Amino acid sequence: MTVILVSSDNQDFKVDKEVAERSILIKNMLEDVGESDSPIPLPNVTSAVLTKVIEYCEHHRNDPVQVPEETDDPRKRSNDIEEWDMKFMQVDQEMLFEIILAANYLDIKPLLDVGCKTVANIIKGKTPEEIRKAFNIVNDFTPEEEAQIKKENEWAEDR
Amino acid sequence: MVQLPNEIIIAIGRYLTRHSILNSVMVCHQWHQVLGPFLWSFIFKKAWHHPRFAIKFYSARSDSSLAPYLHHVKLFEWHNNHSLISRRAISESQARDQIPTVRLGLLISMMSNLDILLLRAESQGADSALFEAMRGLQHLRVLKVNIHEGDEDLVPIESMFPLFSRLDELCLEGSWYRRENIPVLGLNAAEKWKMKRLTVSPQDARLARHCPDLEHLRLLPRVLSMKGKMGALSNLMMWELLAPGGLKGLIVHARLLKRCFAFKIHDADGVHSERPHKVLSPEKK
Repeated sequence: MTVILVSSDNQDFKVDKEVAERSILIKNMLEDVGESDSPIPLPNVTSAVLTKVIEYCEHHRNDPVQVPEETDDPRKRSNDIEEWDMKFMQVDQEMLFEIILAANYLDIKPLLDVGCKTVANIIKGKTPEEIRKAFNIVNDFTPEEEAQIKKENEWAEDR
Repeated sequence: MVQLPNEIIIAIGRYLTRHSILNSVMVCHQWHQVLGPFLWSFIFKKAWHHPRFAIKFYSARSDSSLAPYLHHVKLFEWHNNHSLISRRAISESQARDQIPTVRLGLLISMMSNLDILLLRAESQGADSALFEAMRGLQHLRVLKVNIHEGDEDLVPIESMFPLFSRLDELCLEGSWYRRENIPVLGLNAAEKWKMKRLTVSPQDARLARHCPDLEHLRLLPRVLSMKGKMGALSNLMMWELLAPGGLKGLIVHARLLKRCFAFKIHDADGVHSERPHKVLSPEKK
């Protein structure tokens, strides 16, 4: 059985139900409407991003469903990304953020996790200025504020 | 440029190391506001000695404003002799190194996600608020507590049992508790705990009766200066403790070892050992 997903720019994507249901949002929608051929509009996702998301869901279609972690590991690790996922995430930074936002909206937890790990890896070892540059973020601190924050956090700097 | 909503930045923050968090809070106002609390995940003892340690900026009256930060604390270490005091009001200069037990209790009670609590102090006057706060920690996995109290107002150890039953690791030192209700040798404890590692004085080794899954037991050397009766008791206890269990490691003071006839000593390679302690494996002759 297939379902039709419609991107924000009105492109139709025909995908297997099993693949589409990697998205908890879509899974719940399908359960709510029951048997129906009507296309599912995804007004928050562009066709470029949806293509990527579907590629991910196709690859992971047979993965066991992730059980929500009861105990959040205090030191979650960002270096345990699968090789395929790592390659999949090698996109420009704009697309990376778009994928994360789509994964959040579509409720695809494993994709969201991989996205967040990828961003965490980019941040690792970078100075604040380098982080801003990497993510195109404007520095909205005054030099005084910057000095103040640095001072405030001194206690946490080493253990 | 895509602006990330706060919830996504929080999700990313969970994967950042301490060093990365420190750099990230300097990026922009939004990141500072959202990721700042993550700096509070690990409060090591060194923080307390830092003149700018954030908790010192607050008085007990404004502690409630710390709640959003304390919520993030996973590891909390308080390690300062002669620093827990029962008086509620202290001067600003004292506040650098001292903290009233009531306030420490209040701070701990706000650390609702606390995972590891390491507490070591000489206390002047017990305060039940502190232990009440400890009992309320639902997510605690590791507890190491070493508090020296006077002879009065000791905590009945069994009042801590519901907390102990949730732990993976417990290290019990000091003189803050009454031990009458620890199960008697030779009897199985009614209540089973999931604990894997336990450090106690030999007198309290009986607590292991609560722990069918215990893997590592360390007996503190302190009480071993008590001769005669105590030594004999220890022999008996170790025999009883190790005979049936799945214990992988036992650490005891070397002096206790002499009396410990039932076990073969193995090389301590790869096993945590500290002189003059010896590591034993529970293998019978």
